[in-house]
Amino acid sequence: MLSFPFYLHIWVYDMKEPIISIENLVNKFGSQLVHDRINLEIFSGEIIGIVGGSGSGKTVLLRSILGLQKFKSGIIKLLGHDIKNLDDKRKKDLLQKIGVLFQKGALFSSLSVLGNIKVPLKEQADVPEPYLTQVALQKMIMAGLTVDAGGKLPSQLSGGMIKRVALARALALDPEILFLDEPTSGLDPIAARRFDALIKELQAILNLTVVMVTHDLESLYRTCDRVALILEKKIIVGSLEEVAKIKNPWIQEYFGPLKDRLDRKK
Amino acid sequence: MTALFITDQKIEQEYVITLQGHWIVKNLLMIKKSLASISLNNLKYKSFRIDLTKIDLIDMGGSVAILDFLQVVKSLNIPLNIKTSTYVQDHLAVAEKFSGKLPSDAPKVAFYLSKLADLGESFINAKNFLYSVISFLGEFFIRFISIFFMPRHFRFSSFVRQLSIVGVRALPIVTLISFLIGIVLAYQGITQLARFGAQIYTVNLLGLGTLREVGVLLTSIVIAGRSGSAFTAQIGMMVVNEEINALRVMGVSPFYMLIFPRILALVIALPLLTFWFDIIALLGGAIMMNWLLDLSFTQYKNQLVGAVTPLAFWVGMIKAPFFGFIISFVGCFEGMCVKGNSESVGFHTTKSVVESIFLIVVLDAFFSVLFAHLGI
Repeated sequence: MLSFPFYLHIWVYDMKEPIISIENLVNKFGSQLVHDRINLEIFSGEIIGIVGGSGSGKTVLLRSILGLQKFKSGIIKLLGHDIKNLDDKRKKDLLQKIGVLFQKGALFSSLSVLGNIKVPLKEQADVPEPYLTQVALQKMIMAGLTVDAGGKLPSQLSGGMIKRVALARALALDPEILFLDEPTSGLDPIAARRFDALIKELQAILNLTVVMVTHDLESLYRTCDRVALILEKKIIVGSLEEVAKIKNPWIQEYFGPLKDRLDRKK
Repeated sequence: MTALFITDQKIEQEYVITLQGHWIVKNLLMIKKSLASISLNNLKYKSFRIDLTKIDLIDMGGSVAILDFLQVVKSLNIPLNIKTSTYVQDHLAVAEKFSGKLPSDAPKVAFYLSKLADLGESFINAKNFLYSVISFLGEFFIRFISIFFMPRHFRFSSFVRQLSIVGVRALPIVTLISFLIGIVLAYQGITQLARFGAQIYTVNLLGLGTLREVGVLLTSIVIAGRSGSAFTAQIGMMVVNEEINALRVMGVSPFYMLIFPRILALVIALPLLTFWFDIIALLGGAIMMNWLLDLSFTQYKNQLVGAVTPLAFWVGMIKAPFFGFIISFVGCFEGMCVKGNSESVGFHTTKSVVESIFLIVVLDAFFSVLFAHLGI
């Protein structure tokens, strides 16, 4: 069995209340246990990367936090509210405070770029014109798009552009927490680097809390303050250096390519 | 809570506007209403003062409204004095950095020119459509002929599966519709022919009408809606998922794998379904006549046999394989025409059903003219 501490907790941030807290979360599909009583606390203003092998339950964890999936047992608190017992009004308020970038962008294919960004503004916050267009343009520029891309349809966009539009849409309501599901997958290294820099910059400007699921070690190294590694149904949390140091063959292999760089950093 | 976001007051010669409260994206609707209460026109003041220090909460979306408001005030060209806090100032600076304007619309083209351009575009579209139909038809025939030389290209199991889907599983809906149509036609015949006391000829009407026209036409329309649309949607989704491309790079033509089994299945299934439709419609009519006229089933049979010849049956039946071919051909063709996204699948599915029903009616008219010419 594993011989390392499952829960390395470091107080990098002197925040009293975690913005997301997960206690004893259990996820089970049929007889297959995905998460076995995992605990995770995410604090305001940090960028946390959720990593793990394929099929280890990273996306399941994200979906559980977002309420897209029922979990077996445990408590998930988002901004202090237990997401299991929420009335509609509370839920609506809570959903306005989070933005999600889905893996494939999940842009509405019949709407233009600008139309896509306007959807949350119109539906969730009832923003009137002319602010609607102005705010949507602001988010486009924030996400590094030029204003003349506003009229394009999602089918006319490249992979990198789709991610940017999805980011702009996720940022539309000035969320406190941003969830990113594999933000750099499918991007070339230059585009991925730029996207990471963008996330970091926006995080600093807007004081966002960013939760990202990623496989991209480079991206992890560049952006994340902390890493939550899902391994064998449990979760290990710590800084990248701490997690990469753990003596476990799988972890060593996973973080292998980063080894040199992490050593040099010390 | 009625949040007031803006208050104004006059202090001597100065007009003081105070912004307060939560200037966040969620409140923009109320902010707009609040701003509308302030009239900036017809003001006769020496100077303005805008106080931003009372703002408790601000975000990027809210900053947009403030910047917009400041812009309006600045355009009045009255000396302006802005009092602000670092908290608000920081946000406004960031928002200013990210503010943008929609590019002005393309210069207006003269009406007749734009119409001319539309006309040209529709011609080019029609030409491209014709080209793609011809190339699809061409590939279809070449592949079809090659099957006779290489029978192993014919996917028998796929064909049987399609036959079960478009034929056997369509039976319930065809049965229901044909039964009801039989009842409806019989009822109309009985009520109208009763004026002449010729109710018995309802059997002739029903028999000839169903066997020659109604049976095959209605079956085709039902199947176009049921199976033709399914062909387009299935093949279209395969195009979107690049499954068709995957087949092509394996050297497998989608014609062998997907299109021939579907077309052949429908060419065989549609006559069978039409036959079933005819029988059930005649049965429905018989039950209606038995109920309304007390016509016994034996009398009904005798009248029917006297009224219809095998020719009437074959006139209807001969059309069925052609209609089956049209439905499946259009369904597969439109499926292969899908480009890019799921919206395109929906568009082509609609187009497939409309086109196949249109072509069925046109071909039916053509058959009528042909039969008239042949004197059948």
